[in-house]
Amino acid sequence: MDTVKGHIANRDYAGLVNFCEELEPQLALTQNNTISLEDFYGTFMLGYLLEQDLPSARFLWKRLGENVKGSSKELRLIWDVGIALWQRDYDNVYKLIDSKTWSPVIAPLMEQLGENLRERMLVLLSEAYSSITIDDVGRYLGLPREKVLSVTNEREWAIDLSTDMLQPKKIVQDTPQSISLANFSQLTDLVIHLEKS
Amino acid sequence: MPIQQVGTVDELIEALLNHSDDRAEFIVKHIFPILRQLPQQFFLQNTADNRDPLERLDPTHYTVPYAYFLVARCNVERPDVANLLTYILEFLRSFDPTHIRLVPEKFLQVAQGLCRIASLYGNNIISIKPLTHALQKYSPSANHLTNLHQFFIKECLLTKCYRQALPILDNDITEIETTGTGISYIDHLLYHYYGAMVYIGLKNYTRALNFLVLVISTPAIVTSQVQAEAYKKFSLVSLLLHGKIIPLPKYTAPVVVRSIKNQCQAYQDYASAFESLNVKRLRNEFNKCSEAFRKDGNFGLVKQTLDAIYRRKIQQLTQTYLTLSLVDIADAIGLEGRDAPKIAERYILQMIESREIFATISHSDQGGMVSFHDDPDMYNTSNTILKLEEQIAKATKVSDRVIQTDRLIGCSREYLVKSKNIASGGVMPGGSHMDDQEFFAGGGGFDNFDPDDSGRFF
Repeated sequence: MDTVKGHIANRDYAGLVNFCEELEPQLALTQNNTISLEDFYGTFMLGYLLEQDLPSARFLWKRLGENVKGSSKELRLIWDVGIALWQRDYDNVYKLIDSKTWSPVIAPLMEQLGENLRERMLVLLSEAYSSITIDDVGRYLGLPREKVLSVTNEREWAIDLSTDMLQPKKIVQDTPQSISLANFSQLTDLVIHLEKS
Repeated sequence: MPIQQVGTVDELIEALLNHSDDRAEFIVKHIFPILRQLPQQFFLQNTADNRDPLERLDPTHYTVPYAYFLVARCNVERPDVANLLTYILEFLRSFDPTHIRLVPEKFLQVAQGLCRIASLYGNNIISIKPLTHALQKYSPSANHLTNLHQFFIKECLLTKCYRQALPILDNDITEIETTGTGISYIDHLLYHYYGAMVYIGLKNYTRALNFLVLVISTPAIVTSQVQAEAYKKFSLVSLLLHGKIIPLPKYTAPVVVRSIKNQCQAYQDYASAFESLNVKRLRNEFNKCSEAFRKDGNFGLVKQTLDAIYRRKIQQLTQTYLTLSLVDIADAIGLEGRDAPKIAERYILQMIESREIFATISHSDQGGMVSFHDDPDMYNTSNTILKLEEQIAKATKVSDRVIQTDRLIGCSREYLVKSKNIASGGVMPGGSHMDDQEFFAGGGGFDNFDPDDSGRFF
């Protein structure tokens, strides 16, 4: 369980998922009293959700034995968040995340999930919309009106209160230009290959 | 050395411990004859002091006899689950690959035994990771196909451990060797068919499509049912990726093409409905054939195509319009109801996210307008150069392989025999001199020269 906590603390969700995949069959083989199955599967599923691997999260849910599914309300709620993400029902995702106080292992993961989703939405909205109603933004970000205004202000979105609209600012990606020695070695490999054949 | 007769397990163990030579030829010459003439019952016995022979034998040095004992014990009515599980897992961790490749059928039986024991123990997931590591050890290389591959992927499907199959699936199969791997034609078909199902489950449709095409276009004299089923999935995945059924490779066996026409008519009708981008027609076809789809296990895929048709229609719109209102879009793609513009907006947002279209939505003009753009990527950044380099590297690798395979074929008996026939003026004097016009005309072959019939020049 400590390794799990270590991965969570480092925000190494890929590592978390790999570790859980190795651990799952071992748990099935020998009863381990140091880990509660609820906690384990809860963090496992959240690992998949944080890695945005929704199909694997769904298969994990299908794999779980009936006894684990039935006895843990929290696990069921975590999967409900997964379903809302699958259906892109973002409104519901935020509602579910806020709907209960999660157990101490799960809580930081849920918070991270919410934050990641918010960030993704902000980027997407700034790409996709030239103007959008404040209410809609509120729904995609799961934030009340004032918070929406303050967050978007930070990102330099133009606010037009008369029409109740926000104008997102497009984020310009800065791609680094790099020519390095590695390119030359690839070029020479290619020329050698072409000469050969 | 004459074949030793062993009567009891102790004698066998003594014999094995005496011959501790590890080389493969030795094992084949001396150990195999002993093992092969012993009946199945023999391997169920214990030693004279009633201990399990598996305790005495070391799986690394006595891989083959260990396997024989394991298989026999796994196949009894009520096996000793707890102990056997420990032995099998130990075996899969420490077996000697060169030895076990001498008896590939036995290795497959060990794997099957493991899965049976795991299910009796109560949880099939136990077998997946050990099988992954064992399979990686057992294959001569990551690109070789073995008899265990299709069994492993099937287990992953049954236990719903899809992601765990990826370390094996992500390696393309490029080497086929029948010695030491025990493979047969059906192993190739099943492995790629099951592999495609895993990729479909994980929504990697491109790779699923590759695998399915491999199955369908495998050379065949008689169509396998696997190929027919693969075609059904292939048609649906092709609709999702390309909006139509892409043509099969030219080298697909004609007998397969004919069977497909007979068996998969429903799917082909469904695909034409999809291609017409007529939502009502698609729904009709869907209702007509939904039972058949469900029976084939393709219902999930079909439901995804019902959704995909709207996205394809939106894509079509981007080719005609620069801007369009959400209401008009909803109308054009066939959405109905009060919420239709909202639903259309959601589709468009989804497509912008997945980079299927480039557009900007604006709420400030008359209830929602969408402006479509061209791909803003000018392809002039180092990102593009990186991608180009990646593709070039892949292409050089593939071309190296082709040169290698070409040389191998050039040395093969069949090619040499055929080219000898041609050279001695046998069939067609055009084989190696296709650009020599006079030779052609002079040889009188010009009249019968058929540029499309490439088969006759070999």
